[in-house]
Amino acid sequence: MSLLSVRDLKVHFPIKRGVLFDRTIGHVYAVDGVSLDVERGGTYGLVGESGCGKSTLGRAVLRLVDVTSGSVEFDGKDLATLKGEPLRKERSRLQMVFQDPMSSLDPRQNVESILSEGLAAHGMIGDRKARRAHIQQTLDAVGLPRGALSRYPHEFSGGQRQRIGIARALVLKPDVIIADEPVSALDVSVQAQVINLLEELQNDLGLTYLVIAHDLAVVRHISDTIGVMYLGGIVEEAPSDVLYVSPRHPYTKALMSAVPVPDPEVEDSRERVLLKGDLPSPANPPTGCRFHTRCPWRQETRCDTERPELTLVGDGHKVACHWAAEIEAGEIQPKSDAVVGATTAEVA
Amino acid sequence: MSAKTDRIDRLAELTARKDEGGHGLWYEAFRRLRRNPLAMTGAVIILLFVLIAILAPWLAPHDPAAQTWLGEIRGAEGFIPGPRSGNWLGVDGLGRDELSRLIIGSRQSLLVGVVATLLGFTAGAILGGLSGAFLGMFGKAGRWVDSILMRFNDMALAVPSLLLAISVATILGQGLVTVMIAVGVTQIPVFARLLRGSMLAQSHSDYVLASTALGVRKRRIVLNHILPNSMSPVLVQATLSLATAIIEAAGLSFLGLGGANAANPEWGVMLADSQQYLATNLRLAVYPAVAIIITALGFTLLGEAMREALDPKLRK
Ligand SMILES: Nc1ncnc2c1ncn2[C@@H]1O[C@H](COP(=O)(O)OP(=O)(O)OP(=O)(O)O)[C@@H](O)[C@H]1O
Ligand SMILES: [Mg+2]
Repeated sequence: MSLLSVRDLKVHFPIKRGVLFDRTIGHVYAVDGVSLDVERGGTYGLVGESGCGKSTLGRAVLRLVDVTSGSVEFDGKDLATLKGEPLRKERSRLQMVFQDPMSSLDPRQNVESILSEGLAAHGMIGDRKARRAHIQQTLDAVGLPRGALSRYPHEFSGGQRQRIGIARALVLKPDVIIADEPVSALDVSVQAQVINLLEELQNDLGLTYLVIAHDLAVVRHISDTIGVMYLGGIVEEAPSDVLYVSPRHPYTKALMSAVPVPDPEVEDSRERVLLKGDLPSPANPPTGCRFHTRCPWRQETRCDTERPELTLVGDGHKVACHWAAEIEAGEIQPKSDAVVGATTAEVA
Repeated sequence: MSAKTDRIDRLAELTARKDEGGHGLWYEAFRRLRRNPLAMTGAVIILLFVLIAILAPWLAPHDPAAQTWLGEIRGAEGFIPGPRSGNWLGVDGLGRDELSRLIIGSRQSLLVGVVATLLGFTAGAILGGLSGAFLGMFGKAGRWVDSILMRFNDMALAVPSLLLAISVATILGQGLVTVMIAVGVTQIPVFARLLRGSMLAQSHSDYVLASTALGVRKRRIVLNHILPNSMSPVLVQATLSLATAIIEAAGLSFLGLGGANAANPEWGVMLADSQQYLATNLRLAVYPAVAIIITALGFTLLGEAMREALDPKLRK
């Protein structure tokens, strides 16, 4: 049994207009039927372009946005249907680390107050001394100086602020941490430090992670399983080493093309998939396969009309593509201008 | 919606934006204000105005109510003495020293402006705060309450404020308190919409999400996080409101709703009194008018500069 198990989760935001009273004139299909499992102590990496619904998915799991339908099974309970006090109590076990460490910290709270707020909310305070000790232990764990307690967020550097954000999540001793692009707002030089910190903490405390990122490079070595998201749905999921070696979905192939490979020979000879066009609007997603409007392998049948299911194609490797097998076997050729060897490639 | 509501909403969203620098929003804003000559001009005008109002009894060279020179005017067959060494701005139609009346009159304007703005601020903040709190705390029912409160508020906002003030003053009858209440009432919907909008913008911010994720209770989030962080636009508006309040208070007094009181001169009343001498002594109208304009200008300059300092889009 996985610790966290999401089934057919949908989050549709109503689009409202109206002079006197708001009318719903449509929906943004931000998350549209996502299923995934995160094993206890494991890390699930979720990648996808900006706007594909990654953050919304993460927030829906934590019930920070309203869930339209589907279930979020956590340790035997369905979080998607919990309400009020029971939901609030459950929150201590699942925590979030945000993308922007500045805006996710209240500028009027000092570090001690930030770190004690959750403890107070769950009555985990004990006496003053015990609480202080626990908070200081947490500060040590994330590598912040003890003197940080009385200081305010703006007095810290970006990397340190993200450490405060991580400490805030840790202080409640959660089982699951959802990290929404935890390093993309940070300088490249500190990105690795923060990723390493997350890894260390996982080893020491047995945490379970759902890590969201918009590029594969960030989640690559910390994830056990990686899911690739496109326009509200997962198009491919595989153990991370498998995904890198043999991506099967055309969209994943395209994403991979953007990640530099350290080996120069491989870098020069590998195929690259170039995507045309922009991400369609999630308020008006394409019919059938969401990716068919940009897919170089698009076929006359099925792609435009039938939405492919995520199906198992290998050991833990799932792909949502009608023609995955044919593409793999080379029976279907991509449109000539979309796939190029690096020798002829112009950087798009 | 109207330009007025758009302006309010724009102001409301300001503090929700991400801060670029490591420093606080106000720290940056003040640094920019200090370099803005218009803001400094406004601040100096306000400072002078407040000092004059406070020190008025010591600054005024004569008793503002004493008709010392009435005999002189009568003797000269209605000729009103202009500026001269004893009376720097001349005397008014009833033989009182004009400068002393202007100086003492500043107190009334400051008093009405401050009290009216405080009233509008307090009542508006309660209304807007409640609306925003309902919106944030009570789900669907809360959204309904908020919706209804804000529709009424928008209707009140759509009424020209001087008209609203006159209506209130007519109901309450003449008097200084009337003017304060009437002018204050017109500010209520402005502050209400502003604070509610500001709270709404804050409630979408990441740190509110973070607190929710921690399991902090909604009431605590609203009171400890959303409300305190929503106050900066309201303070900017308070500065701007002082200008409006001073002009409206003068307007109401001009219309005779202020309850004339010889011992307590008021700029609006002075303006009204000057009407009968317009043809011969235009200066009697010009002095109070200029006083009103400069004071209102001071608050507007500073208020607008604060808006601009907080708003990256208005900044060049
Ligand atoms: N509260 C909301 N109301 C309406 N639409 C929303 C809301 N939150 C997100 N959306 C929309 O849902 C879609 C998915 O947004 P989301 O933030 O989940 O994307 P993302 O993959 O996290 O992108 P990014 O990489 O930019 O963070 C976007 O089109 C966004 O505009
Ligand atoms: Mg996001």
